[in-house]
Amino acid sequence: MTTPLLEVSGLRVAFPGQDGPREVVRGISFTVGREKVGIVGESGSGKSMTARAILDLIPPPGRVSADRLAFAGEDLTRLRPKERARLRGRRIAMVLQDPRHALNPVMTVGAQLAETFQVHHRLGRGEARRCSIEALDAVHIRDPERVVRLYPHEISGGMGQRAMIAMMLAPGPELLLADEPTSALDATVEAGILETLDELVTARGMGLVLVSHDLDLVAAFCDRVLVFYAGRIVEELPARDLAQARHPYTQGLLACVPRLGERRRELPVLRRDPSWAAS
Amino acid sequence: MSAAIRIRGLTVRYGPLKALDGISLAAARGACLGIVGESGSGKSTVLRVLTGLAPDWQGEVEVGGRLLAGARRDLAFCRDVQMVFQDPYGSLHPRHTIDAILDEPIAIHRLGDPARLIPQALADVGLPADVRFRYPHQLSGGQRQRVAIARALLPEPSILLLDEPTSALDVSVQAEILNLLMAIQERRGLTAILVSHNLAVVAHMCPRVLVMDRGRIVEELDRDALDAGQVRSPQAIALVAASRHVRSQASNAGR
Ligand SMILES: Nc1ncnc2c1ncn2[C@@H]1O[C@H](COP(=O)(O)OP(=O)(O)OP(=O)(O)O)[C@@H](O)[C@H]1O
Ligand SMILES: Nc1ncnc2c1ncn2[C@@H]1O[C@H](COP(=O)(O)OP(=O)(O)OP(=O)(O)O)[C@@H](O)[C@H]1O
Ligand SMILES: [Mg+2]
Ligand SMILES: [Mg+2]
Repeated sequence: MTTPLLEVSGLRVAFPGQDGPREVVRGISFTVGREKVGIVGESGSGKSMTARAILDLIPPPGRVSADRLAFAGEDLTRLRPKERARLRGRRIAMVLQDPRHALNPVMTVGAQLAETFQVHHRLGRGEARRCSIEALDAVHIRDPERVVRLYPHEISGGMGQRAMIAMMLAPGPELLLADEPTSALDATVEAGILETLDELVTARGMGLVLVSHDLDLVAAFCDRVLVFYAGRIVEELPARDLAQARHPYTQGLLACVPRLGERRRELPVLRRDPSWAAS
Repeated sequence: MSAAIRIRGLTVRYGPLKALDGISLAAARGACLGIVGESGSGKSTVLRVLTGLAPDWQGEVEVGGRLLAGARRDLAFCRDVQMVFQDPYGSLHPRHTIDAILDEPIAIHRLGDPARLIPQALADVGLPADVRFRYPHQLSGGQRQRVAIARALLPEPSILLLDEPTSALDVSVQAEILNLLMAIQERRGLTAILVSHNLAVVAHMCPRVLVMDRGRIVEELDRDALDAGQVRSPQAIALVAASRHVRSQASNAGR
């Protein structure tokens, strides 16, 4: 059996609270190979914190512990912070949920992208600039020559999200953690971005973890789905079987999705059962 | 039918780019007008002009029967017209607690007792009471978005501008927020403009929908047409087709 790209076992993240530490990730285990793994689940259920913990990006005073956290067979918890940082951005990349916030506000989009190319591919300035324009073009940004000269506050929400994706893909990572990477994109552009990601997985063998609230998209695009609830995985299933999910939480979620051609006066909402958070 | 918002020939330039190229639209009082369109087509710019966040524009913009000029808005306007930004992170002050963020409109517009209003505002958007004394960076993406929605609803505006209000929310919280907006709309005759990439959300909320492309309005639809996919412009046809494609299992056949 080949080693999976990512192994996560017994992952926990806690923040200090008024009455002792409050666990927001409570013992999560999964593996990722050269495939597309979807993560869905409630707002606040620990999806982003799980992805951040893998990259060692939990802000203080948050605390992380895990029985095992390994990338390509290598135990991440044993790496020194410097080695871990070197892995991040180079072999493992993450598209953050708030892209415009994640970009440097005082640097143009082009300068930030060019810097990435200079660092990771040792390119000269002119070459790096050309690569930046190509990278923006690859994420379907119209008029990339104009956009490279703009600052983050001068681009639209969806352009920021795509600039972030372009920047994360530039070093050619082996594993991409994408937190809501297409939430600010219209369907046309979204389809193009998904196609690009799919190519990287199928052609280059990249592993992809896609966090998304769009259940129908995850069902159609991913290979497997993990369903998060209150810091735990409550269900794991092949993506194409999502519509036949067993867990009452997953079933409840599916019922809340508005769909074209299915007009309802009021949308159903979930009635949360305390037992879902226990066990 | 009286319009709460009327725009004629609105143009916004950024250097050589026309972010808006002479658009005209009207939002009927008490209804929700939807705007969809490709990323970068100018949707947020329309809302920014209305709230006075775009300094330079040409054309005629009328809100509640009054013509607007430039970027100046008076206090009454700021209470009556609220906006939920696409980017909740950027719109919440990073060094203010949620309590301080929600207290600000209460103090400015003298809305009443914060000890009563703030817990109610949090509960309305499904947030637990204990987020009140946290900072924005201590919340999840969807929780931050709900704080932004709660802040916009507090002054009981008669016009609400919503820029991707539910794209960061799980579908259950999204359903709660959309139901809440519908209920307020029925109770108070709220006028809204909803910008969203989710065509199903737009069809659910909006009787009328505008399709934008590169600074222009290329089609105006009613929700039945959107539901049935009966659209005419190439842009709308592409949006509907792509939306179906990325969400249909068939697109993955053969993997
Ligand atoms: N710095 C922090 N201090 C304390 N609690 C935090 C902090 N950051 C996040 N949390 C809490 O941790 C929980 C998990 O957050 P996380 O961001 O992982 O949620 P999520 O599943 O990504 O949700 P969403 O879909 O809304 O983005 C939330 O309840 C959040 O309020
Ligand atoms: N301050 C600015 N300087 C230069 N260009 C700008 C500025 N603000 C906006 N633009 C440009 O105006 C165009 C329209 O932006 P807008 O934010 O309205 O798009 P949008 O339709 O909301 O897109 P999205 O769906 O991605 O949010 C974009 O090309 C953007 O780069
Ligand atoms: Mg998140
Ligand atoms: Mg926008």
